[in-house]
This record gives sequence, C-alpha cells and structure tokens, in this order.
Amino acid sequence: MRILAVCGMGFGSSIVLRMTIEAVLKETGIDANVSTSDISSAKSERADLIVTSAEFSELLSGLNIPIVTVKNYVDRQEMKEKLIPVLNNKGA
Amino acid sequence: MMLNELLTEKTIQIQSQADNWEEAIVAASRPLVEQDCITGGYVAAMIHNVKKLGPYIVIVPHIAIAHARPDQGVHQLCMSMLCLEHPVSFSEKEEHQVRLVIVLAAVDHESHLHALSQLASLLSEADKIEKIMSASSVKEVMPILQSVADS
Repeated sequence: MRILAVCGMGFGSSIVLRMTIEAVLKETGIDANVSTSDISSAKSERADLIVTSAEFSELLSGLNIPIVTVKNYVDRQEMKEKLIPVLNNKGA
Repeated sequence: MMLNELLTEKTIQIQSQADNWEEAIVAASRPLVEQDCITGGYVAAMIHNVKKLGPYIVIVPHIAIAHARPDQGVHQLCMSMLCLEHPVSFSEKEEHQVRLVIVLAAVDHESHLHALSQLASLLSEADKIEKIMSASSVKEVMPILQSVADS
C-alpha cells in the first residue's frame, strides 16, 4: 500500500501531511508506505491513494485512484475518519 | 535546527492587521529579508504560488504556511511568524480567514524536517495556538515555543 501526500511544492505542507498520516497509521497498526510529492509530479507517481487539500483534489481528479481530502493537515482525528475507511476498502 | 532556534524574538511579529493576504506574506517575510536569509524574489515566489495554486497554504484553519522552493531565493534555512489580531482573508471561506502566517524557507529536503515536525506538533495543540494568537507581545509567545522544544 503506497500513500502519496501531495502539496504545491513538496517541501512544506506535504511533509506535515505525511507526519499526520504516519501518526494515524501507527496508532491504528496499519502498514503502509507514505511518500510526498508536489502537484506537478503527482500524476506520474505510483500510488494506491492520494491525500491532499481541496484545491489539489480537483486537479488530480482525473487519476483513477481514491483521493482523501483534508481541511486540517495536523488533525489526526479528521485524518483517521477520512483515511481509514478508504484504506479498509483497499484491503489494508 | 529546533523550532525555537528559528522562531525567535527576531523573527516573530505581532501586528493589528494586514490590508490583504499578499501584504501579510510580505510583512511576515520582512525580518528574514532584512537579515538576508531570503531574497525579495523568494517573497514574490511565495505570493505567486498562492495566485497559481490557490490558498492551499492554509494547512490548518486560520493558519497559513507560506513557502516556495529552495532555489527561489533562500540563503539559509529560516522561519518567521506573523500574528494578526484581525484576520486577513485568503479566500471567502471561513477557514481561510488567517491569523497566523508562518514563512518557511528550506535549503534542501532534509534540514528543516526537525523544526517542521515540531511546528506540526505545535499546530495540532489548539490551546497553545489560541495563546499565540491572543498574545499581546512576542515575549508571551516564546515560552510556548520553548515548551514545544522541550516536549
């Protein structure tokens, strides 16, 4: 299972996003690999699932993989509620 | 580098308001430009990114992390924070009414990660953020950053 955290540059917000995703994965004991990408190269990355903000989810909607959209990049509760059902659906 | 080595009395500012979000990013960047840590071009690049990609830099409701790429004018790893008593609007959405603008300037993919993880942990603590937003002096902000560094 490969999760891709996407932001504009790949240096700031996507890394914060990865930290929150990893904290939730650790808490729930789900095994997945989390990497980061900027929006321009996200489409060429291989991933089973993308986590990003509302601005970017529209730009990535052409991809045939699930996109989880979060409002608060550091809110573990929001991340858990949105991410875990999608991961469960994927059989993780 | 620890978060409280980057966010210091020299790089944190409190002001009443900003005319618009561009002004807020310029004001937040000012100490870093004056200390020659970033160029004016980096400030322009941060603004350009928001114009091009939207207000995604508001990664937590009411908090924006402005940044561009290391090759767009960063002389050394640095960070600054502008606290606004009155919010500035990054879009018409409620969560995009911003009271904290944090400028991040990284030099590579690695060296800022420790401070960034401390920042992420700070941003997830609503009570500390509330204290920072309601601080009337920079001196009141420093112990909050210290507590993040100590934990």
